[in-house]
Amino acid sequence: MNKFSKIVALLMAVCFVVCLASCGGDAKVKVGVQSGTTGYSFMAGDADWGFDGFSNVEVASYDNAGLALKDVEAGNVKYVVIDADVAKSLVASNEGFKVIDIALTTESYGIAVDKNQPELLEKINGVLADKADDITAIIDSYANVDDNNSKDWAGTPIPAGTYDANKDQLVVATNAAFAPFEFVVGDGFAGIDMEIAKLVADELGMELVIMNMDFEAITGALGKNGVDVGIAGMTINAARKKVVNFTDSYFTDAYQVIIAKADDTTFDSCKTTEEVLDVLKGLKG
Amino acid sequence: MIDVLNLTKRYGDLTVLDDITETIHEGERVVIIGPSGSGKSTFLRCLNCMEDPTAGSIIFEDVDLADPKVDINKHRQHIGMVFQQFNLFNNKKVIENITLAPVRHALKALPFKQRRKAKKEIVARENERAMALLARIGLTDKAEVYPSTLSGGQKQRVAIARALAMNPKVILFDEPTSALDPEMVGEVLDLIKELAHEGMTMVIVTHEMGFAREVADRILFMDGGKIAEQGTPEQVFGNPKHPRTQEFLSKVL
Amino acid sequence: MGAAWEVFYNKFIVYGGWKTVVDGLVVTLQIAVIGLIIGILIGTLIATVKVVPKRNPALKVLSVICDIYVGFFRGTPLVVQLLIGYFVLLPALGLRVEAVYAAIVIYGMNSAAYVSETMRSGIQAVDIGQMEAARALGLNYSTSMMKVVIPQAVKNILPTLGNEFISLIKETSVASFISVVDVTKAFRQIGDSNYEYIIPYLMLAAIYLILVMIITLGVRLLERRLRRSDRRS
Repeated sequence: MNKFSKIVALLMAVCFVVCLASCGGDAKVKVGVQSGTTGYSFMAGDADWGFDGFSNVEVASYDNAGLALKDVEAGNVKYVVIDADVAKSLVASNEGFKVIDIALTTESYGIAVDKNQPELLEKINGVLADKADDITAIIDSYANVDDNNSKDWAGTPIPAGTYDANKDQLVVATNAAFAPFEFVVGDGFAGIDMEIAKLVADELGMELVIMNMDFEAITGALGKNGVDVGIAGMTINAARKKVVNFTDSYFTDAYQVIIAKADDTTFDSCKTTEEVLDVLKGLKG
Repeated sequence: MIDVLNLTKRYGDLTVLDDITETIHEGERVVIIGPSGSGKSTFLRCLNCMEDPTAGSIIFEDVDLADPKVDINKHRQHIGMVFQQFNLFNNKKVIENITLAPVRHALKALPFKQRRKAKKEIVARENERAMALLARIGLTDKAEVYPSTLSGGQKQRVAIARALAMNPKVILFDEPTSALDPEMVGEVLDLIKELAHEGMTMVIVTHEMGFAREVADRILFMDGGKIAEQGTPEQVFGNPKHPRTQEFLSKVL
Repeated sequence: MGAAWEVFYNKFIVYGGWKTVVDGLVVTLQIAVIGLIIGILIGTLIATVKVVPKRNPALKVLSVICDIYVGFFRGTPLVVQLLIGYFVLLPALGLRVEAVYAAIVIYGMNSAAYVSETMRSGIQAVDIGQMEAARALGLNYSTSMMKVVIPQAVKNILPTLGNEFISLIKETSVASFISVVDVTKAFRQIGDSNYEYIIPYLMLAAIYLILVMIITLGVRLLERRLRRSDRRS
């Protein structure tokens, strides 16, 4: 063999070894989640939360759950774990899926507030208390998933607004890929969180500005470039509390669920959380 | 051996070779001389179709090399070529330079399945032959080195050995000594003279008039894309008839 | 800073975050190494097609196809190619490919477009006399290319190939767009889990720096070895 062939053969051997290094062990079942969400922490394990994770699961992180769902369609991933209402909305807008509506966790959403603005925190808490009924009404108005998903929503979108340091604005960071809480409609936004944001801004007499970004970027964005709060279906947890303040919870009925293909029968016999967890732990790739 | 019929070569509007008809006979040593731009190198390079003729035929081994349907590679195996710039394969050792083509052709002649087994034998055999050629030119100690370490004269002699390794019927020399320092010209010319004495058919383009006179059976003087005059060295050098020939020779001799 | 380090140490060592980082590193290397090999192989093919004298009409068609290929992969961002390849093309073709392998192929095809240009100039930089001498010996075009011209071309472009490898290593950092966990994503996950980013991100940068230094050294050594055939005794 001449020198060139030897070099190529060596490189192929290296590749082979590198491949083997990663293909060891039992095949794991792949579950898709959205980066940085509770769903990710739940599946991958997080000591602070008290989640053990699943050693038989390979967690695939996507920018949003919709992309994860696309990959289930393509067959690369078996299940998606995401917040319940988001799951129902996704299933309403994508054919061939179903929600296993058994809570895997219990969570509450709060509005994240810049730690340097304690007065703002108090004011918003005030609005949330005073307008509790309106907020419930907003949440109820999005209950019908068939109408209130990102494809079929027919209302007027809330405009994003433009940031102006000189004006009295409530700058809200969000990740608008999380229907029914926040989603993009035309050139504006809609969703439970977005309408709550508008409500709060109006009550405080401030102009609403919405900034759309990656979910994990939200906590870090508060207090910079004028960003005041983050409203993004964000579960209140200890780790986040170290970095931001949370208002009182405005949505207490949050939990993680599994989305599966409509013809998947793996979880059909499950009725309780424990049963679902048992099945999950026993899955193979 | 080589019949050139109505050979014409044009680059766009420029006609470099103008309807040349000529024959190179077996055992003949033909030397081509002439001013630059006369088409000497182009003519030589058309003989093995390094340059594609615009029109005309090159008949060798009963086929027309200029015909696109002809397998030119098969026939090039019997026409050796030595270049002004030596063109030794820089990525191969000296001995590999010489054996590359013969080994390749020997392997290609076998059906696929036999190639792997026969390879060792063929390589060994060609290595032997290559060493014999290197011995002939006195460069056996350079067999395992790379061409970049050789002097110009050594490179050209290896190039000639490389051409010889294919057992050609005719060798074409394109200004073989023009790129050499004067002190190395002699060793290369000596080697070519040896080959001439052994009866190798050759066509040489050169500026070395003394060498031409010694070696040539026939001199072709080219000018303006045509063979202006030809004859034995005594005739052309001693008694040039064409005014251009006279002009040229008066400048170089 | 002390608190940041404690938190990081926690996630990294105690909770085994380092395992994800090692896995991520393996993925990064897989994509870069295999991607480079694919890039060189396909790139050389494309370069040859572009360099070959086109007597055959089929070659002309092939040449146009190559132009379109190179134009696309050089004219669009790698991220876009990843997104289209993985979320649009593969489902459309009904193929089920694991994200890592899809990434390897897409990075490879991207690399091929750039390598082809480099290889083409590398081939054209080889003195034409080399090809002529080989052809004069009766060797056909492909043998002459493979045995004489391309080896010399590769030697010419080795530093550029090294740069391409370095580019690849750095470009793997966006593989997470198609859910591939490379070393960047691994550190991002550690950072996200407790919102302490300083140490993870600095460590990440250091790892890339080390990788690039190793590669640069390796290329220099390889160049030196191959140049011994050029040394004048």
